Amino acid sequence: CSKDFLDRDPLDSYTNESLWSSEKDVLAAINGCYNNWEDGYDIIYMDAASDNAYNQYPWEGYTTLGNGYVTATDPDARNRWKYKNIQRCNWVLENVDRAPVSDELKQRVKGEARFLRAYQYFMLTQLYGDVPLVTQSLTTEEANTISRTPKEEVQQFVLKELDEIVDWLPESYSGNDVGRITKGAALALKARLELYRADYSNCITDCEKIMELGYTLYPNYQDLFRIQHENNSEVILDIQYKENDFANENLHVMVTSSLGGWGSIGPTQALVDDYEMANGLTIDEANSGYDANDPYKNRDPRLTASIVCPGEPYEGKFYNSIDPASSDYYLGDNNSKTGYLVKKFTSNLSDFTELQNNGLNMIVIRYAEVLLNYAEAKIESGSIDNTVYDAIDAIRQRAKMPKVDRAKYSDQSSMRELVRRERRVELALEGLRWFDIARWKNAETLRKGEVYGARLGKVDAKTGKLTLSNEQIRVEKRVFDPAKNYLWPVPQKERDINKNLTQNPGY
Amino acid sequence: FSQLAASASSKIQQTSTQQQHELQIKGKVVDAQGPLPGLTVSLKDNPKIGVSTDANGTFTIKVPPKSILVFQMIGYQKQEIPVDGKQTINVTMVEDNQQLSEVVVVGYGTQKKANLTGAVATVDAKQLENRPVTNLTNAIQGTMPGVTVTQNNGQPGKEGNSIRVRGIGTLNNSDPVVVVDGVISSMNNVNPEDVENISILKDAASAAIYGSRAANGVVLITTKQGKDGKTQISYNGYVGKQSATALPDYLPSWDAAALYNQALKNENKPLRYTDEEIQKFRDGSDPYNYPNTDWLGLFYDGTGLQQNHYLGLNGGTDKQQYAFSLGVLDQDGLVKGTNTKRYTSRLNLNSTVSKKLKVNASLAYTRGEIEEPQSSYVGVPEFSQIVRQINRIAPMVPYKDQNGNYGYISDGSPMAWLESGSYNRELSHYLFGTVNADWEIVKDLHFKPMLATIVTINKNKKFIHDIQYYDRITGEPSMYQGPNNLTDQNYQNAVTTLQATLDYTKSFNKHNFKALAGYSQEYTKYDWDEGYRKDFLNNNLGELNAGPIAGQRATGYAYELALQSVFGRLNYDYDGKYLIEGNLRYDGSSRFADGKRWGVYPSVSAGWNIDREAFFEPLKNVVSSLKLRGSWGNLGNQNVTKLNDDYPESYPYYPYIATISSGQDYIFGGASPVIATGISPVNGANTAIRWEKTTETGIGFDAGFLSGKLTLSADYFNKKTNDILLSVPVGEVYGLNAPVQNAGAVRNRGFEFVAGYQNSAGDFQYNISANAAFIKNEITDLNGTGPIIDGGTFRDVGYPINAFYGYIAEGIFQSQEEVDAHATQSGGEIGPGDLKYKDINQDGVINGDDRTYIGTYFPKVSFGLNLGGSWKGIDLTLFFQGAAGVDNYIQGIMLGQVSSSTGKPTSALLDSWTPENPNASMPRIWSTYTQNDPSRNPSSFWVQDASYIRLKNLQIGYTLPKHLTDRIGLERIRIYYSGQNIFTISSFYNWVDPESPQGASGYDYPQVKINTVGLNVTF
Repeated sequence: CSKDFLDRDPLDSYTNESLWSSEKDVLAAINGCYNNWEDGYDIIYMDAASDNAYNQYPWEGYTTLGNGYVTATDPDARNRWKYKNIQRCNWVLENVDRAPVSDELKQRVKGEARFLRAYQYFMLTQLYGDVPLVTQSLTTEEANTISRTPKEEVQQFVLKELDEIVDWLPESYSGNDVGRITKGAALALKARLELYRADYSNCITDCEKIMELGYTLYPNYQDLFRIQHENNSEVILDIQYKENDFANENLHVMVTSSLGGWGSIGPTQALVDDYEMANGLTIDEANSGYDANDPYKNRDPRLTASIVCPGEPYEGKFYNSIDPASSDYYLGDNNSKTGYLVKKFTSNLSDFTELQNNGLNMIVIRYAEVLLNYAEAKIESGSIDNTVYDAIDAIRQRAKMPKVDRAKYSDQSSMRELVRRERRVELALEGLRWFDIARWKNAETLRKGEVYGARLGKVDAKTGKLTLSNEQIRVEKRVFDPAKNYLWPVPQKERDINKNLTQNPGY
Repeated sequence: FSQLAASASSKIQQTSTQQQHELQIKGKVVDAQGPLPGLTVSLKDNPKIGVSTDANGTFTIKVPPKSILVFQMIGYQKQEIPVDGKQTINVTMVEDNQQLSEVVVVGYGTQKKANLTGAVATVDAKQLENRPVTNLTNAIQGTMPGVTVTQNNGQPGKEGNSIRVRGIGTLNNSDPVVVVDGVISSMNNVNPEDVENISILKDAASAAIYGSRAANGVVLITTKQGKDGKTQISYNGYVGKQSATALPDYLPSWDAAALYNQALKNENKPLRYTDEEIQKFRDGSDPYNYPNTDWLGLFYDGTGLQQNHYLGLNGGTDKQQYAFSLGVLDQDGLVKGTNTKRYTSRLNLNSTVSKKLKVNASLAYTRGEIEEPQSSYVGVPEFSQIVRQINRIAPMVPYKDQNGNYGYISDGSPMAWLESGSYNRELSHYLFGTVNADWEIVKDLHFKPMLATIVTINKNKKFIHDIQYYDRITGEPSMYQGPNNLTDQNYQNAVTTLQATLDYTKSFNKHNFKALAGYSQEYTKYDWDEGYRKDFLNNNLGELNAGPIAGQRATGYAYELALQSVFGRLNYDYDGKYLIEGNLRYDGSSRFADGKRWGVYPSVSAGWNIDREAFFEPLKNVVSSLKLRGSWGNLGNQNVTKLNDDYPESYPYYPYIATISSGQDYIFGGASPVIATGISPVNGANTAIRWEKTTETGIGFDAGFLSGKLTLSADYFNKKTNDILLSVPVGEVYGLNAPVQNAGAVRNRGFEFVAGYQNSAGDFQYNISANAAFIKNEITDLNGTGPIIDGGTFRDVGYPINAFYGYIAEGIFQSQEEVDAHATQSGGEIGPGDLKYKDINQDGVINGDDRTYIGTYFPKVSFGLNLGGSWKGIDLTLFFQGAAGVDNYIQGIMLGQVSSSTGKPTSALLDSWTPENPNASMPRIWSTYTQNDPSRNPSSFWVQDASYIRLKNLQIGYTLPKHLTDRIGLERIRIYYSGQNIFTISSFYNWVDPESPQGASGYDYPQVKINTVGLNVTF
């Protein structure tokens, strides 16, 4: 009797023992691994840690990661030190065999879990270098004494995992399963990592496999990122959101104050300058047609699709960040401090009823990146053939840009320059730029020194015509120590708990 | 017939004799030492007739022969002697050793104060009367040594008070258990005016009878019970006005703008404001574009009026007694829309069924209403968010622009929120019912069963209105905070307690025994659910059904807790000289796994009333009483704090059971998205956890001097808590919220003193009492896990709990050479004017490894001082309270920050380092750089002494003379002025209230000063 009185079990949560008895259980468990597997917030802010953008509010977590002043004790250092989903995947992998479900489903679920785990390790090693490699549930003692595994070893693990699951995953899903990890996603992540590791031949092989899977470039570059066209033929993997129930809550950070936003992320002048002219010439080439007093005219259409520049029509008026008399003046509150706005995910605000609660999926991997990975791997391995030009041309033509001038871009060094510029422009503000400049080891020149924004002046409210002065927005001065800043600091909070965690050099 | 007649006639005769013949009585009054001069002898029926004894102790008085004489003098027990026709009456007065007769409420019973062996502090109704406090916790502040009460803020209904008995004993919830009329309950719902007395059981020996619940002390509250005799009606009421004790000293817009420019200059950034713009702020020539908005003035614009009324009825016969009360409190806050109303009622019935059986019943009901405005900031619909934004929004932002639209920042406008009508209304019903009986089975053997139920029902309604902002220049719609939405929360907590005790008292020769045995069980069921809808047609109707179903949400959870206990106590004393008490409690809790569930808590204590020894007699002139006490005991704790502040459902009610949480959903389906139900382990579990155990030893003495005019008590205690239930931080790689473990030990050692003196000079009576506690808190073990660092505080062996942690600041760099010669610091470009941190490990780099202990917010001493006096009808009391030797940490929010839209520096930042002001008290000002930031880079530079003394309460009253009140048929009328938090002297910033725990967070409503006038009437 007395024993009964004190026996009280949870009323609203399950136990591991009572679970794993049906397909429903298995699916719920793997769905739990997807919960926050990647965050749209980090995707949109990540370019502020590169030379593409500037995050004006330090409390949002990316200012010091951009200007080089990050310390191990900053909360920013913890932005991506995430193991929660790794643990969840480990849990599923440890238990799924108990469930009375088909081997086929088991294999798919294992594939999904192993991908999601591999993705976290990909991200961790890119940013922090050596990290603890955890492939099973830990005790607290183990968690507090674990050491960092060398980056090389962790990345080998990631590649091996991805290699093993490629054939366990379907090429596509239908109905209520769209959005799960596919074979294409596994191959694409693998190819991305191989490129980052300069393992060009494997990268090329994997890219070629993806090219056979039927992905195509979505015909309209700007609409590719709109909610109406989610999960189109170009999307390989995205974070899925739904209004009200699991919402994308962060689009307002890119919008300017007069439209109810915060202007948190300002694209830099350096990024704007890398967009070619519509004729395919860079702005500093002779006869390019570039007019420094009307700098946004006749440019690569992707500039207008990705960035709102002064004098450009946006949401029914001409954006004016360069005149003190304007609501959107760069010094005004909640306005972009570079004078440029991110437009990529917010090209049409009428797509959303609420900027802080909407269903816009955030793309993590898309086919254009695969084509660029392929092209770069081929260029770097010295085999510049037609397939390289075709890949780049496909991307440029979709964007309404002329094909590559094969006469001008013929050798490895010019092609390298071209593909790097193409990557920056095509994938701008999608969170990948930092990984590129970090592996090209040119962050020490690109992410250092003064950051500039737009030139000041006037915008004719009726026509958008620019009258620019010679004064250019100076944003901030960045520092970069190549011996230190290529890696983020291991969060001090983790090192306080676990004395075996070493720190990256310089922090 | 004849008997009756005779009796009647004799009565008539007596009356006539009384009227006609007064007796002259002579006598001498002495005490043990000899004659007593100055003693009052008066007539009981008519105290106006009275004389004093002369230098020889003799007196003469004329009285009717059948009357009763009263002999009284301070320091002696009052005597009443019937005249009975005697003409000479000699009296020997007995010294009034109050402790001899005073009875103290202890666990499951009472004990004579003289026979107490543990450390028990008491407060009676008198000390609680007429203070304009809204809750009982405030009323006891400073009245007892070693009992610390802190108030977080002054928001009506949400003061967030906490009580700590003898320091923070655990790393968990340190609240003491509160027992109201024998039932474990809470203080919040007891009207202070219903309280007869409060006992706080401070040491293990006295608290051990509550075993597992008592590790943080026990507060025993006894409410006023009925008394036989004429029905007495009393009315107490007051009206008062609150004002903020202090508000931050924010700078005007031109200074704020100039400081922001200075910060940008320090950080190599372009300046935000031109000199012309700063001039416009200063001269007010363009008040919409260059305003100087007084946000605090706009915000703290409520009336702050409060009123309280209390009506008590008390009476009964020798068989049945009742006490009934009604109370109403209505308090408007300093901010419009903040209000609380509380209606309390209580009925206590005592009934003697037969000589052997008494039955008591209590019923109390409290209805509480709290209303507060809400923010429309998406995702943070809290009142605290409005307070925070008021403390954040810059004076450079206009309240309203030239078009009459609200000026706003990225988070919105706090004034727009306040004035939108968004509200949170919390309604609570608290029902307390208990029935108990006392059956004397055989002589001195009492069986006391009790059944009690406490039900709390809460209903919260948050209706957030939507707000459209407009562009300041174009007047076009810009930011929208919406949609409007309603959250309806309902929760209910029901606790049923079943308890029975058996006690027996036996004395033979000079041996006195008391024995108690008992059983109790307690069952708690908590249910919570919430409904949400949004996008209502307008902001008028605040019921769920008025909103659309699209986007609606429902959530709910529940838990159960069970506790079971058996306990016993044995008291023995020999002739009141040698006292000994033993307790044993055996507790079982549903929070632990089978096998770890039960804990045993023994305690023993002893006392020696030395004054009763023959050898002490010669000392009695000076030392009228003296007792030594000593105790040892064990206590337990099963409470654990929640694992993750972000998830209320992570509170570990079942910390040993590994659970899989629902709600870990995701979305699939692409263009037609659907919710994919997800589950995952979220909380770590630990099957091995067991009771947290506190061992406490203590010694003390109670002494009375000068016939009891001066009293002094002192205690030393050493309280050690082992196996503390704690979710020790675990590395992120663990992937789950850290499980609860038995990790670590904390020790609190200290001294407590209380001294009192009372005397009179003619009509002037006065009393002084002072108390002080010196407590040292120290973590003695963390199972090898320390230091546990959490931002600017840490826990480590050898240091107080949550001590300040950071760099040691060695001053301010004055030159670039000095910077270059010093260890490398980071957080921005380091230059002259930056704080210089000590390179503790001498590795040439300042980083996380150079942090150390830099201070503690535990005071070395906390004290209270009560002064009271009365002269004829006038009474005066002053109550001071304070702490000394205490540090506080200057959080960034106390200094204010520099920015444009959220730039709100306080005057403290005016004295920041610049090349022109190299001797500044502050480092060079910062905006995005973190090297000098007290939150991002905690350092000793920001640790400051925060000792204070506060006049907590001042009361002046006047009681109308008896002949006036008699004329209008009343027993007593008193009018008074009472003030709370009248003034404060503090060594810290004067806008930071010293009582706010660990300083103001910027989210907190300020503490309040209250001035009231009141009336007490007894019919």
